[in-house]
Amino acid sequence: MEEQISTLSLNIKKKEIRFKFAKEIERLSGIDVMRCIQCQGCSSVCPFAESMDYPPNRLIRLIQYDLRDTVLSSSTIWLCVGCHTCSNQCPQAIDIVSLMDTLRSIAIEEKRNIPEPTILEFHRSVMSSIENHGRTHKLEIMMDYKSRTRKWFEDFNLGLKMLSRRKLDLTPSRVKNNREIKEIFARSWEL
Amino acid sequence: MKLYYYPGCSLATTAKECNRSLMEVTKFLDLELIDIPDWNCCGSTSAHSIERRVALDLSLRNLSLLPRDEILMVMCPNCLHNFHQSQQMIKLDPHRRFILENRWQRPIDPNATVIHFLEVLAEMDPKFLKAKAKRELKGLKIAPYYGCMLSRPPLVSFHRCYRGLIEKLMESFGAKTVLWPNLTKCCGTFLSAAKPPATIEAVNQIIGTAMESGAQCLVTACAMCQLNLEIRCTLKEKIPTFHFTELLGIVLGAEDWQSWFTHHLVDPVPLLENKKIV
Repeated sequence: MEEQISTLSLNIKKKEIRFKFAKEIERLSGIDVMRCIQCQGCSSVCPFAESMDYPPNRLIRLIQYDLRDTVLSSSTIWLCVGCHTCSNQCPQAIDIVSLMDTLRSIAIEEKRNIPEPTILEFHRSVMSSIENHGRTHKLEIMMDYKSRTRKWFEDFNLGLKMLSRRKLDLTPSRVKNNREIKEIFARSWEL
Repeated sequence: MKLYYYPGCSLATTAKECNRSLMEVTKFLDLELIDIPDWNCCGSTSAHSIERRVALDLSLRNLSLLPRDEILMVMCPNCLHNFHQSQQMIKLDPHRRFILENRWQRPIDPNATVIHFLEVLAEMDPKFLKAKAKRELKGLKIAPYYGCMLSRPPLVSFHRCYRGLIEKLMESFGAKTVLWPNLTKCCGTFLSAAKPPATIEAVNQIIGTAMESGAQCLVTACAMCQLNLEIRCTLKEKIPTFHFTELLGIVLGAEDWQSWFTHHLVDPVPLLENKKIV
């Protein structure tokens, strides 16, 4: 916290480096977080605000204060499920979901410490399933996720129940033109 | 009427009952559905969460498979959202569109009409729907549940709001809908797998308030919500959650409804029999 306060006072002293992080985000995503008027509407409607370390409006405030490390290592950016309830009622029309997407991609790129590692592993499991088949294969995602997080017995009974209700297919449904899917997943410089 | 149809992964796998009931409904309403050939996953929430470019390309590939001047009907609100978002994004980024059109040798239409099945129903004459009904939903008290379907981020806020369409549809067949607070509360999507305690709390709150408001069941338009509400509810007394197409299918006279409900984790058949709907 001391570090945060010293960064803050430093930033206020040196006007030229103010809003550096906010400008970086605007360049990457086109979202102007300086528009936020701190009405706290987003945090009051967010269904998962209670599980977050900073509710959305406070996270935006931290960006305005240029506290880059605090923002990028917060659990908020990982717990956001992208339901758009916040941006739906934001009087300043800030696309908070895109903002979270952008912050998440910066955190991944800079190999930040991730406070909710299971969530990232889940996303990676889904992405690898889409990359392999072009569509999601729920059973494979569940198994892949379990092997990544090593939580083999969590939700074991639920999995069995879903299998017995034929909610989980054993074989994936596939896209025929797999080359196009592989191309989408390839890095742009590889094309 | 002929419509192009994008089922999406949920309806093709975990929510087969929703797909099957939709097929029954379209049969009764003389709609012809043609699957988009070789469609792929829209990326769901995970793609845009960690790789925005991949998410955009996945949605655009689906869009490029839609023949020119055709209407695309989508059943999953999240897929629909991704379609709408990607259409707006290539309007802002024509360079990306040029690259992808070149690569796939197929045009991408950012102005193609992409709608939810609820919108198709809303456009129909209510008298026509009523005339087709063979059963009634009299006595059934329903909590309409939309989840995040009603939220529209700033980029696509000009699109139609679906609020009230489930109520209108269900009430036209004799059901009563209750007023309740959590009809737009998010079900938690992927947190159901990655952080179950947070989802359990949200789901219990949704189902708990629906029951307090006097509802006997929930009706949703999203297959993901339906699944989360069923698997993550830890309340002692539970109420079933229907896909809106299931109730619609029963009303229109579908006979294979029993096979749909074998996929439900909370059995809704006792409720329907109790109300003498089936």
